[in-house]
Amino acid sequence: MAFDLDSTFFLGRAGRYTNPANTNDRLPIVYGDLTDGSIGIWTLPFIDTVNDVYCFAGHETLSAANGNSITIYADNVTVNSANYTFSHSNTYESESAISTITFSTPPTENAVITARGKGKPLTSGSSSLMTNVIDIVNDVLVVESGILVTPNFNITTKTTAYNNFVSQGYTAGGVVFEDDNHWTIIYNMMSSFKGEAFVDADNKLVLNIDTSTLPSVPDEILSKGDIKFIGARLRRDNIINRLPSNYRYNYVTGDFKSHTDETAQSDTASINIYGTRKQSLPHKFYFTRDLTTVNTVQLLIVNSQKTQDKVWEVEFQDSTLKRVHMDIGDHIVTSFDLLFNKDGNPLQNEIFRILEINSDFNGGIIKFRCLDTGAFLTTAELLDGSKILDGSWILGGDLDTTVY
Amino acid sequence: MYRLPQDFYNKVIAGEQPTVYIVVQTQMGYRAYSGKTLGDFLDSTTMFLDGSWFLDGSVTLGINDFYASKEPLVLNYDRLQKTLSQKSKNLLSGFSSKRQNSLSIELNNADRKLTELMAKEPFITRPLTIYVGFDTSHDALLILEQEGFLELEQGGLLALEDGGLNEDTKIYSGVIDEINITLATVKLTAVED
Repeated sequence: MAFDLDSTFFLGRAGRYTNPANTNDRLPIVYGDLTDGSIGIWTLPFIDTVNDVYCFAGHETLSAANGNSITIYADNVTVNSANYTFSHSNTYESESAISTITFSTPPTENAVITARGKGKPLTSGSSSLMTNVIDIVNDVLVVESGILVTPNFNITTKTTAYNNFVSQGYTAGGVVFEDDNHWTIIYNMMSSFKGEAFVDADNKLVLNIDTSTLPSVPDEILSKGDIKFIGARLRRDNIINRLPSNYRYNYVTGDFKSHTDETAQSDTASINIYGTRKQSLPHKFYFTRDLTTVNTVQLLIVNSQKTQDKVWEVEFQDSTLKRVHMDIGDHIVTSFDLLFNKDGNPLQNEIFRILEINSDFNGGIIKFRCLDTGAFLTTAELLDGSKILDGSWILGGDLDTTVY
Repeated sequence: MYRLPQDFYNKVIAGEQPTVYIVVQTQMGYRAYSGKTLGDFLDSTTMFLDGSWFLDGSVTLGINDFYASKEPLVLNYDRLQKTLSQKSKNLLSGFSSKRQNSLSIELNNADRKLTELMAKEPFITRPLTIYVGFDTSHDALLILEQEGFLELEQGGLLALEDGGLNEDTKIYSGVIDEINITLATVKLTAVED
């Protein structure tokens, strides 16, 4: 099925009900645990002015019996829970199931009703909350929007991303509260976890959660004779050794409620060499609400960009068309005599990640722009007693000097 | 307006050609580059890393005025443009917006020594300054000293200020923001602090 993620995802409207306050009010999609703080995190549209019904979420949410904890505010004042009834799954006016708040004691006229609470369960009626960002991205694109079906995903990378998310101990949470471009929604979610998304050569959506782990086997080894060096670039802005960050986005006030910039998540050695290098604005974690996740991602970003050997962008061209199968995101190994590592040796069998590919099939040339990972191929020695660990070489860490 | 020493002004009037050179301050010290051989220009600075100094605790690398190298590697200077008000905008926009000054210098890297150096001694984020001076000053002063007309301090040259001779004019000061490497050149792009 063909798809266009550059299109807009339109949320459901309050106008599908008989007596809304505003027909254009969007029904929010709520994911994760949004019970943090002490003020409402998102606004509830008023969908029935006759019966005082508000839409908590435009879908079924975790039930109270399964642990949903609801707090409702009217003009930022906590509403007594005795004054309303929460329904986690309500086919109101025979429309698709939503989650509602029905007031028995109506709030002040024109009061803005906001909420804290928990969002979608993993499956209908489930006792588990959906908190893995891969599940959330899938839900938005397949269930809520319908722009993709399961086969549109690169299932291998999707599964790996899901598992990486779990192994990193991340938790996702946020609200889709306005119409937006599909890519923007995906990026806001994935970027909160150093994740990326792109469409591969097979027209499948690839989702990656970066854990700074290199593949055990590179995707391709390029011999020096096949390629021609074009240039290399190093930018000061790409060196990051401290990452002030904002998280706990509030959709009512339109700002982040928490900020963190601790030295524990910075790199002192890099600061001593390059000075403090930060982004121009705090890093934004739109879909993260807990400090542990933020700290883990901060350290990942700092460790991957704290020294110059990890942020060189190298351009070269291959005139053999042997690498026409390569795609962005792949890892390659190659050597450059013109570039040197911090030991003063030319880069040999260095591992790069492909950032960009420009193919000129008329001229039979493919140009690659790659990011130096700072890593290189290492030797694999047989522990058969033929080598002595005398300090002259590193077990599992020696440079592989084979000319491929 | 730049502060111009009287000596500088006198030499310009006399028709002498000034020397333009850049100074990059790394953790090891100062590295000077120009378009032509600097000769004994800067030779009488306080310390030159030519192997004649011992690290015996009497000096501290990176703090004193060390010149780690001076080489005629500059191939090209981009034009330095400074403006209060951009041509394409109206005059009042100069009060509410500012265009950051930047400058690129292309250096010869045919022997790959520069890229080898930069891998061990980072240039990125380091201060870069451009000076204009006269390299005949030293010869003239030495002749005067030999003839007994002049008694000089420190071998005849004045103390360093930010890596350049303080009788030279500082034209531009920034930090290296980007480095581009091609087959035979290295381009340093500096932006103002």
